[in-house]
Amino acid sequence: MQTYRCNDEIAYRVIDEEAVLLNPVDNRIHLLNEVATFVWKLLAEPQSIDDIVSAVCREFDVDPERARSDIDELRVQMLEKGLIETVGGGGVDAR
Amino acid sequence: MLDDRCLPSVYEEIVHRAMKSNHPLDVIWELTHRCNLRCRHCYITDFDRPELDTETCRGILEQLAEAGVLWLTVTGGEPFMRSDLFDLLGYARDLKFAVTLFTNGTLIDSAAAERLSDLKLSGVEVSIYGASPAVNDPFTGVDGSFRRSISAVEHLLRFGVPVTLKTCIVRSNFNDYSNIEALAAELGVRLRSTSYLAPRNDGDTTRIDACRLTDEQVADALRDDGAAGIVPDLVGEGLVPDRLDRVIPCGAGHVSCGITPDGSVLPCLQFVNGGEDLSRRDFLSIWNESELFERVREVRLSDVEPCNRCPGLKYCFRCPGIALIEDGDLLGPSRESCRITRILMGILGDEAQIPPPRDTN
Repeated sequence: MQTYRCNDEIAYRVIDEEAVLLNPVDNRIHLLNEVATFVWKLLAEPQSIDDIVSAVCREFDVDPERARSDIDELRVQMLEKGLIETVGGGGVDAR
Repeated sequence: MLDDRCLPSVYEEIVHRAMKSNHPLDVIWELTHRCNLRCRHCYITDFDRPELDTETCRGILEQLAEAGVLWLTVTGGEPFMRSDLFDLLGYARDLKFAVTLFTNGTLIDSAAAERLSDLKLSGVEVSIYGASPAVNDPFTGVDGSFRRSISAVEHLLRFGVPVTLKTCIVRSNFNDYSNIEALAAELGVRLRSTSYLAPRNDGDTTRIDACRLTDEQVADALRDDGAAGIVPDLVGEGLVPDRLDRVIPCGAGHVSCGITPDGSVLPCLQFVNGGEDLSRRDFLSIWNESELFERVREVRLSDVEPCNRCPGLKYCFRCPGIALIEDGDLLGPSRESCRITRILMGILGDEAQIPPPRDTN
């Protein structure tokens, strides 16, 4: 199963429960809401989408299907912007 | 979930939120006052100012990270005069700071450029003062400095480091500005320029008075669109806010601050004196409890006399720190800002008289 983790080069801080990320490659700033910040913190260690969905559902009162859909969208966005990276094998990471 | 609107608005939102809670976002740290150049306009009076050892610096970096500081600018003097610079830059990156390095570049060879590339800094800003050795080197006081600075830029670019060329526009290079712009374009780098000079740290303005643009040069720059970036960065936005009692003149002490080589924390390095020492209290305690920071945070534009009723207010850019060190009053005018504003008002045909600068001598 494909796992993901934070791109180690990203500068960031959590301010008032929302993460501010800066990618030194393009100096773009990204502001994460509370749930995305929770996901970002999880990704300090490699996580699969299933891992993340489970953790988010435990932490927040969300429907698992909705959580999976939102997290998958977040995954795509963060991969596109170079904020996270895939770890090891697990097949082609397709959108 | 992920908000990354165009850079200025996301940044502005972050700063706005940080201002509300006085969250420290941005620190500029003079690691050393030592320098291998002797630029004419330099504000440093004591090149041998005591500096902190490596372990102490690493501890301070941890405190800054813990406090929530994201943007860290490392400067000097010349930071490469410190043998532990790469250690400290590396540790700052390990602590997930967004790091910018200010340097004259003369000590950056290919190997150093490669190491900087590996650190993934947000940027390296290299200072020059002319587009040729003939203009640059007399200003820096060191023959060969221009070639070494440009060589550094080339090394950095080869290794993919984001580079900005930086210059102060002064009397001696005013006529060379278009060549500096052309040089930046040729190198493929952004140029950042200002003509706003800081007095020496002891308040002496003799040297910068000889460097500052003449009234005629200021007027030429203001009239000439091609000189945008020289003086216009010194002028206000043409608006006078309705409620001056709600306007914070500067972010210093609200979201940003400076640290001196010997570990004094100031709202801004322009304040020079009155900071608290990190050997006595940790950074967050100083940030939250320092009397100087509290005093600065209370200041609103309505408190600045006579600027609060000056007809030139809408044109004026005023640095409170420079007003303090050059004219002795944090809440008073900056004579240099008054000069620029007067010239601009003359060009615009605005005949209102701005109050003369107070004589604080």
